[in-house]
Amino acid sequence: MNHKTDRPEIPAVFRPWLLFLALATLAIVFLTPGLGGKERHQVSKEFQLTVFPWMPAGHITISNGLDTFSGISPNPISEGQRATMLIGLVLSLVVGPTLLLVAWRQWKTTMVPRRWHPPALLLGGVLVVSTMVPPVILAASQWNALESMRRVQDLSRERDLMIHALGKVGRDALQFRILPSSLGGGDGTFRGYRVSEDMKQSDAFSCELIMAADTMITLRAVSASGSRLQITGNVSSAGVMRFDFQESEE
Amino acid sequence: MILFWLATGIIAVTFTYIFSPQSPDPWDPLNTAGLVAGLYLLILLLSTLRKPLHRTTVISGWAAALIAGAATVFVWTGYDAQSHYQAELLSEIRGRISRGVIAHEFSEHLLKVLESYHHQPPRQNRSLGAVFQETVGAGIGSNLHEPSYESDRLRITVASISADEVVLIAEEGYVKGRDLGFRNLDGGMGMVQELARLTAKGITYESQN
Repeated sequence: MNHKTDRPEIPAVFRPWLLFLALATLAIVFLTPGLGGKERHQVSKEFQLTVFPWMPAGHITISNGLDTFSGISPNPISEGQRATMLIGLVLSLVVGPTLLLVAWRQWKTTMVPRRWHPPALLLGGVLVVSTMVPPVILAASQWNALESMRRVQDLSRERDLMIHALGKVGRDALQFRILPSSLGGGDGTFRGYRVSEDMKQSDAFSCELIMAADTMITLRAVSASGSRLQITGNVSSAGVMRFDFQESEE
Repeated sequence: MILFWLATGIIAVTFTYIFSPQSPDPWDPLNTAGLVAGLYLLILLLSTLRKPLHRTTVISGWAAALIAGAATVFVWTGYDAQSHYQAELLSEIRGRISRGVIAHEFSEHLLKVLESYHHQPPRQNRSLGAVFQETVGAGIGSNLHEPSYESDRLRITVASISADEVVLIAEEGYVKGRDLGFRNLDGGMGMVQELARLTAKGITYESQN
């Protein structure tokens, strides 16, 4: 038996280039907010049609963090936001794959195209391509981006802690200057000030005294991590602190 | 057949999402429903990628599904971890700013008092408490902090004044401290609270939460 002659004619709609074109066009429209992805499908202020349910969840989490940062109580998750995540999840992981896989299997195994096959394949294909292709592309770059962001934030945290420590030593030096010598103070001068052992060293950095004059003291904090960050702080007798940031040569 | 699959998947995922315990964190119900959706997808793949499809087609289908699935899981969990990291970092930064402001305000008031106390004219011998009340002009229970923005809820309370000791307690109205079960001075729970004690020998600081 010649299988080629037994197979029914495949309708013109299944021509690969046409299917690819339709999928690509719809994927572009669906994924580009400016072309309608967000705005066109927005049925309420808080509901947005998306096939990436993790994106609104991430947005809500960071937005709550910003609210806490600003001293505002975070809003509870609204019905619109819940609907956005649920519908995104259903479209991306249930509707798209089901339409594509079931229609495709039926078409491949029976070789008899039904009326619902083309729209099911088209819609399923658009949803699967829209959902699965961007993560494949993103996954490659996301790791590096996340690591880079964490490095920057770790450096920022280290800098804040060093400034905080220098501020603490600075205030201790100001107190030393005020106290009379009978109480272990400088009696009106920074001369003789020593950074106490508990303020000198931490796991992340070390603090040292560079210069102590009558009305000015210079301190330096050096990072113990690989960031090579150094902060020099000048404290005046009026209590003004100035910081200078640099990376060490070594 | 397709309607059965669709109905099963939609109902399973929707019910899981709706009936998951609701929390302020949007990820809890989403991750639970995502696991159910993943299980549904696995069953769907096992059911569709099998004979009588050609072996090459089945292997290619599984390979594509594995790559796309792994990438989706990676991006999903990446968003989850990163958004929580960002939110926690914002909270941590806010805490550091807050403790910095408190330390600055403590020393601004108390170093001034300490200086006035130790530089009194020889004939005057006022107590530390008297110098504090004269210099700062505040009594027990007064708030020394002037709000600098609308939602500024920092309070620096004069907790006690005696002849040789002054105690200030600073507490934040909304910045969480280390222990969420800590009871703050104003009755709040788990917020940042710092204490400064001024004596003739200087200021000692205590981070209470």
